[in-house]
Amino acid sequence: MARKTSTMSGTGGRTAALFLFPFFAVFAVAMIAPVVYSLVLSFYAQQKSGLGFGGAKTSFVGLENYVQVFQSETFTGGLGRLALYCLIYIPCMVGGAVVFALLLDATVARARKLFQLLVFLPHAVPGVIAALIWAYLYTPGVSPLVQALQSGGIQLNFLDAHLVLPSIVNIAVWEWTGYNVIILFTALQAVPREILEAARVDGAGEIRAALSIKFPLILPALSVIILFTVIGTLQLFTEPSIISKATASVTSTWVPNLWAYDAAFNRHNLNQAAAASIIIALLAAGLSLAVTRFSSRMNKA
Amino acid sequence: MKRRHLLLSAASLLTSAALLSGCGTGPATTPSAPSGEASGTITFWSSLAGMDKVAEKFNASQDKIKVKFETIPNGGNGGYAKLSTAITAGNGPDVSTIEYAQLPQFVSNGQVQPLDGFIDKANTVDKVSEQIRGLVQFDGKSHGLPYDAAPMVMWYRKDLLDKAGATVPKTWEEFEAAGKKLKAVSPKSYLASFYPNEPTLTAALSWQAGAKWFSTEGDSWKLGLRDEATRKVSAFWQRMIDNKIVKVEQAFSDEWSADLANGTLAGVLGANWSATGIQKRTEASGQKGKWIAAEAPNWGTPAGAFYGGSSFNVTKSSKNPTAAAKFIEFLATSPEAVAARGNTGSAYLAYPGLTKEAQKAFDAGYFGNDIYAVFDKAYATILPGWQWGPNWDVTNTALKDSFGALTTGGKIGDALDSSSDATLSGFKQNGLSVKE
Amino acid sequence: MITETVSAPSRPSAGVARRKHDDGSRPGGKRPGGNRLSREGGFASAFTVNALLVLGCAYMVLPVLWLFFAATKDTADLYGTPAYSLGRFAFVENIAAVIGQDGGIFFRWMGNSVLYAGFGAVLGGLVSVMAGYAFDKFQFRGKKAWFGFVLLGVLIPNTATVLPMYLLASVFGITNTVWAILIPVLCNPFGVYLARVYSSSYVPDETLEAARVDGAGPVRSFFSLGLPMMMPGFITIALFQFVGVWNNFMLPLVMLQDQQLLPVSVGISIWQGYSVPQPEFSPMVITASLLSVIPLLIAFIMLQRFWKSGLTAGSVK
Repeated sequence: MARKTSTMSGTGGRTAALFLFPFFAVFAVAMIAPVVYSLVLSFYAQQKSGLGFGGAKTSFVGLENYVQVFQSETFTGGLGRLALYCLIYIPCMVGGAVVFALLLDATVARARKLFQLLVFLPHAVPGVIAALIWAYLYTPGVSPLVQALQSGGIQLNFLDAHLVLPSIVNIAVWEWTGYNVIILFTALQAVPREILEAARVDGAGEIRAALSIKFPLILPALSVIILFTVIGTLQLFTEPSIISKATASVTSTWVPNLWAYDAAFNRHNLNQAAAASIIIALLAAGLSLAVTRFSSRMNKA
Repeated sequence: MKRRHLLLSAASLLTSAALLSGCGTGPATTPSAPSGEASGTITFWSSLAGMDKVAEKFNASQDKIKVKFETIPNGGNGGYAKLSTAITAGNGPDVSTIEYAQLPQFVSNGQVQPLDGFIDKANTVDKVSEQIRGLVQFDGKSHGLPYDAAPMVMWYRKDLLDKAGATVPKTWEEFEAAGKKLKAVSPKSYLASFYPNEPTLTAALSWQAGAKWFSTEGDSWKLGLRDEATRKVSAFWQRMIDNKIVKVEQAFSDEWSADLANGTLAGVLGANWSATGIQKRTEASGQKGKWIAAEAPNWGTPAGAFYGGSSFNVTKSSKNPTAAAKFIEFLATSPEAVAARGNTGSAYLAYPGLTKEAQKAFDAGYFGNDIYAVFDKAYATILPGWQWGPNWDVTNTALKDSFGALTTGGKIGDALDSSSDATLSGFKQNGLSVKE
Repeated sequence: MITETVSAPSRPSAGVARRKHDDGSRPGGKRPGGNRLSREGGFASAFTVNALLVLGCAYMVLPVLWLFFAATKDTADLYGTPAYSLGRFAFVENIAAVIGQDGGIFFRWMGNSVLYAGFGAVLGGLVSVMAGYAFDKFQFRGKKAWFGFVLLGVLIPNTATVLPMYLLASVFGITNTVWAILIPVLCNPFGVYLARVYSSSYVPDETLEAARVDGAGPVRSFFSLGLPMMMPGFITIALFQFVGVWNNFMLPLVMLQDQQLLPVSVGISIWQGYSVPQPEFSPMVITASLLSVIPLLIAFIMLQRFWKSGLTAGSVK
């Protein structure tokens, strides 16, 4: 009971409990309980018998559901696809955001406020609508993009099996770059001007200053961005859902979240869906921990 | 300290609740015992056009039962997922519309009630053909009243065939020959399309060739997605695709609509219900009178299959199955229901005598021949003995997903292989015994 | 001077060019167009920098602009006329179709979105702020551990818990009711984290100490002193939560089947599904998208500074 002698009464455990209770109650109900329940569900399965037109029995199957999920080619394929998605998405989006923020921060940039507003605009558009807009922008016959390319002699089907992944990456890039530009730009503006002046006096060009001074100073903000982006990637559901209605290239199990949704609502296998959700949650937690540890190590360096 | 305790006990309470309630399929609703009088308000979900008018007619024609109609997306757009989820959660409709391919799955999941005891069997189910009856009866009980009987039918641009010097194909060999003639005069045209998003059509083609994708041997299932007949069909269509006689595109997509409108497509492999879709998409480009219906080409002896077709059912959620059953009888067997639907398409119905009524409501003047005569001929040659398995969704999804690779080098045969595997493991995961 | 006008037809390909530019770019900044920057920042460099900024913004803005133009078209024009033209100005017809469809269900959907998002924003915001405030101002055993739970909540993606929530909700029979949405939206761990930051920067300990000396209890102090001082922070947290709930797609999709309960994002996606077999739905999907985006755009322009403050507070660890 090593209670720090509080100089203020009414700031101790009991009052804290009062203030914290609403949040943790909701947290328990909306996060802890569902995960615990799913964990339990994932250890059971429905077993039918005969031709399957009678009833089903619930039985304990241990880790069988997890085995089935990992044995499913579509699930592991979806995980691989997510990895590929990250590989394309993160450099594009982060790179784009960094470049844009550096450009905004350049002394010769004009109309900064306007540019900030415009670059952040896509973020005000909900993900569903963004995906819908781009679905139309990828559809031949409707899309100005496709028309422009066709008039230049290039026939590109953004929605076929080869291009659909980068096309969906593009939607996410469009949605999120502006958001991260604002974060990075604010961090850049916090760089003390004296340092930049000193560098200028020493003869460093704008680009040198950007690379060797500004960039290292925004690394902390950058690592937070990468962390949240990685977590966000595992959430991928909305954009593939919408695009799947426009093309056969996005299957119903294209990413793990869609796989879990399909298991629950198309195949009526709630137990497998529960197992898949647990796997996704564990992956997310693991990935977040890894990224946090990696970035804190980088920051210390 | 106290809070931690609270959280832990809450968690354990929930866990025990979960274990006790089984697998959380929601509070079970037991169907009420059949009451003598059929009355009350019932809900009716359907994605078929014109059903709102049928519900209105029913409400107007009597005042004991009131039907509340709600339109839902069709199967391809999540309609069945919505239905199934609602039934599981306990707030599904009283009356549902389920296609023959999906019905066994709903029955197997216990989501549809048997109708025996609620309907007048002799005057309804027993009057349709044996083949159709087999599509709605499981475990010795009827789980729905059949509505349409949708024979697979081929539609052609007669003028384009004439220009190419080809006759209307009667066999698949003639189809290939006609396709080659067509390519010779207009290389950019196609004789038909292969739809990656309609595995039910691939099933129909296999059915027509004599395949049996799902059959039962005693208490066990037997899969036939890789049987000889299916392989023959898959090899043929792969050749058609490779030789560009047939184009791979999604049915009902913008691309398909555009191809119909500008004459790139000289044929549509569909069913009786394809008529409205073809008309809507081609009338603006002056193709009236140019489209004809024809029996689908066969493998030497006339044979046909069903492509689509729905039944009406009483779901497990229904607390008033007597009233629901009465409404279903109206829907599936009464001429007034068909007349009320109006001109929503060239329906071909299962119950004897109703098709004449449907024919009256439909203006077939757009087409170049007597399409209903063709439907009759196609219906007469349906091969008996086809069954749908208890988890069509697994096969359907697997086929759709693998067909997605057809435009980038995938092959139909490979798709059938992987789908067969997926179906097999689906069966096993449910604890059913199955062999191939 | 520097051209900031966006000439529409050529922009899309320029947008493509920029995207190709970004592919494979390495963090650390690329050369913003080959130039030798002199100390005075010559005309060439200023032009390049600003031109690139304009290109970038064009990429961001043009899709939204497309939406405006597309909403003025009917089905035939949508597929027939060039994208950035007005066609046969069918805007009013489209709006009428959207409003009339299914007896005005679009308004119901918008209302639902406002309800869910507003509830989550205000009540969820309050819950988060109270917790964040407590973490900042109060001392108690195991504070670090409890805050660890909060951080865990931040790190677990939203969608990973949606299906588990559905499974649990179906046991209690509350799926397809408003509670299936209203309860989860109260949970905002990131808001707690932000609230702690805001509490320490906006509410000085001395003020609270003074109040305590005057005899005010902790709850009184919070509501009459702490919360008012944190108001800008509260608004930011509420704003982020509002947008988060408004954008949430998977949760309502999974939990709700009754069309009357859907938020506008899910409703529009259902119309998109209908538009495949029935192309007449396409203009409605587009117009409805535009109508649903406008309130957010306005709110966002008016409340810019709160956005910025929230973003930066979140990244300052």
